[in-house]
Amino acid sequence: MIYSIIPEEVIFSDTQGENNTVDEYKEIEYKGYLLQVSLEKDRGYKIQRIISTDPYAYLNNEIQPGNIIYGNII
Amino acid sequence: MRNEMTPNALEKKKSETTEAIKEFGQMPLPQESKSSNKPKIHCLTIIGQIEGHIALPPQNKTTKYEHVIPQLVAIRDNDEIDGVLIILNTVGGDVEAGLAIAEMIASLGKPTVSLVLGGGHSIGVPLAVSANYSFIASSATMTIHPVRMSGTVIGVPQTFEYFDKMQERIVEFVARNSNISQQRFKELMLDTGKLAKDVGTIVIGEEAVREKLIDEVGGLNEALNKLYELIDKSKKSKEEKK
Repeated sequence: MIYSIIPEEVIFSDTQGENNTVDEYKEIEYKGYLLQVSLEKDRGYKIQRIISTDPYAYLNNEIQPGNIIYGNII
Repeated sequence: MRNEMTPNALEKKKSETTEAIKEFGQMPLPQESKSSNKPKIHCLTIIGQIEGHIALPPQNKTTKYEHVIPQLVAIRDNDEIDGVLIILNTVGGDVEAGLAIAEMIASLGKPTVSLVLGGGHSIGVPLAVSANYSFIASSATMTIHPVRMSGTVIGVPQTFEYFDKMQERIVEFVARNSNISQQRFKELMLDTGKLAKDVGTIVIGEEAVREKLIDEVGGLNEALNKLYELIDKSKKSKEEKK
């Protein structure tokens, strides 16, 4: 049951048919951090969000949102 | 497929910084040494929709309970973490997920301080009051409204009773964890004169404090100072017990 100020038809609206396609995100673990990433065209992963409660994780330059990570992940 | 490192990886790394600025408007952040002996805190940010039993379409920004609940367990279990700051900017979401997270925060057993920034609407209200001490930014708002019916509704009294019960769970939790009475919270929830298209009330900053829903108006600095103060107190009381 949803209790939100956003109407349910907006939450569950289907944007697939329109042109404004939304990036699908994936969650991966990278160097001990859980990251939300999107797949780049050249096979890298672009970091979208850090999923952590450790404030220091957000100061780690390597996993800043916007960085693209390559190599053996997972 | 993912095994190869691109030969121009170094060059890419350089351009990544530029890209971070270009795409996210972010600069490399300053690093702090962990050597100081100030209390170690963790920060739980609850943003967008609270996602629960139903996975929401990707256009929603969500906080998922499968992420938050294990994190709270880890925080409780880790002796090095002294307290948690909960930052809220949420439009609401799943009732069960919101109440589950709120109950976990309320029963964490470590000092917790919440800070409502921007908005803490609907199910964000129980989350805001679940901490030991709560703050609201003076520009932040909280919308208190009834649980709405959607989907298949059978026109029988039982349906109404079911919704009333769901609402009761929220009202009861909020009254238990803040200084507002159940009756007053319900009054705010069912007010007909405040919202243009809906039943309910919007409280802004100071008003939330006046309604005794939130403890104090403040920002990050006030919230962190309060958290350090609570940590200090709990450490002292633990030492006294020894």
